[in-house]
Amino acid sequence: MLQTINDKFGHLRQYLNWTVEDEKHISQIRTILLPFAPVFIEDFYAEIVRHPTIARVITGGDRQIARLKQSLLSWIEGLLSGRYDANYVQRRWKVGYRHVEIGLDQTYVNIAHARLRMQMQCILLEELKKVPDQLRDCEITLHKLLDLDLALISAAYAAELQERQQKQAKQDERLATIGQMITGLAHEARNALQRLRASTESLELDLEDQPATHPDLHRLSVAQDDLTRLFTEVQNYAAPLALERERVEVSHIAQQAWESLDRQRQGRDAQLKMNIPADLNHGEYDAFRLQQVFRNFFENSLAACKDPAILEVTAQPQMIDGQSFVEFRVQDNGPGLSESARLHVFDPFFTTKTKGTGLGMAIALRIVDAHGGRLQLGPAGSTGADFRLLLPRVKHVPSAKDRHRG
Amino acid sequence: MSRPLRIAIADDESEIRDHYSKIIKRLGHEVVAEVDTGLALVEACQRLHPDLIITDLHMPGLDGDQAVREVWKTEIIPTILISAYDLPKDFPPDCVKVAWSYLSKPVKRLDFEAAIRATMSM
Repeated sequence: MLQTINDKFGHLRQYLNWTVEDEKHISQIRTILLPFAPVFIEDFYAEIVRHPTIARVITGGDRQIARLKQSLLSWIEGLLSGRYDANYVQRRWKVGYRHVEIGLDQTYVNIAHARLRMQMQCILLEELKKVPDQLRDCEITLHKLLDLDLALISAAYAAELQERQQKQAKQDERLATIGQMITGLAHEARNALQRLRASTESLELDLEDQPATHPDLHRLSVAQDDLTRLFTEVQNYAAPLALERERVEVSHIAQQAWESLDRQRQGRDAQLKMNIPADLNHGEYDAFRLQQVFRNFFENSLAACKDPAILEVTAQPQMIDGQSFVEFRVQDNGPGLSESARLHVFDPFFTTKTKGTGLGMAIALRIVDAHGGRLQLGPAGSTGADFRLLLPRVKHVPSAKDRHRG
Repeated sequence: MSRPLRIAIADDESEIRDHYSKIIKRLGHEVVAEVDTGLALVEACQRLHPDLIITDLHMPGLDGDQAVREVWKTEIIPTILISAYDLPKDFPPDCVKVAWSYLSKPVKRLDFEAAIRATMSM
């Protein structure tokens, strides 16, 4: 890879007619500009914090800013060093690579580059205004150099971005194939399960008068139930998710999810408390899917909590990146999540239950993603489980019909 | 139970037909036809006019949903479709008013029995 880049750089230098003269001018430019490096750097970051889109990619606070100032200094030193060898090329390549990694669009890099160029040019104009010949030479060299530098950084950015996109496409394709395979497998398995079910139930009917066989038949039947449920969940997880949004009341959906667990609640002292302010209770969601999400929370809580189990759903407005969400908190009075559970709770096939497929949370996450929402854990150390379901808040624009009614 | 029903069943797997048949007889109903293809189902219904059809979806030749569409052209017979696959999106055809149910395989006996009762009382 590096050889190709070096070759490319060589071609670029030829194309821009980079000569020994330029090497000489660089030395003069360095003497003039290097002392101003701290000024360039201060201006550069002062400008960045004024642009939220760019500042967004800087996530490490002041310490990261300090590190970035250091790398900008290295960049300026490298630029003016006069040594444009493989090492220089490699460092420029890393800049492009890093921008892809942090998700900084090349457009911003181009603009930032332009800003630095402008400042360097101003200093040259000021310092060399009495020697127009030198000014002209230095300006030409500086522009050549900056153009070469930016060409390298953007070539690296484009190459890295393409490589990542190709990798992602391959990964997506692989996942799609696995999904199709699993769906096919589950369907075929269901036919076999139907035969198994048919034979078991036939036996049950034939052996009705032989109670000694009943426990074994019951076990057979339970095993088939478990297998059926596993296939249903795997199919749910693998199948494409198409939402059917309608205007719904979240409290109603949560209540239905709770009621659907009557078998799990049988003989238990379990209570669902709900406190959802009326203005946060309505949204355009897929009722069936959202019920699945709540059911999954409740089922996990019921499995984890000792009696009396108390589950609580509350809601509050939240702003994230300027977008408005409703945050539904689902909390219980159980033991909470272990450190390893916190890390893996949303991974497919992760489970702490003896009888779980481990797909519940992964499916819930898919459903929430499809709604444009987020699924998060409350802070570590909270007592009991604490899940945060964030759904985008869409302002209900009253239709003409609603207004008439009102 | 109100009255014994005359039922036609179709599935390409004999174990499954045997099982349905056993449950149906136990409920006091009569199995008037037991077939393993969609075409045979159409033929049996046109000849025997059962009270209820219980059919698989995917069968060799003509699928179950296609077969009942064909039957419904001349006679509206209540139908239960049982399959490991989802129903086609265009089922049932808009113009047909008929009592029908869909069960996802594997089906439990109690659900099967409930579907017969429900479909017949629609």
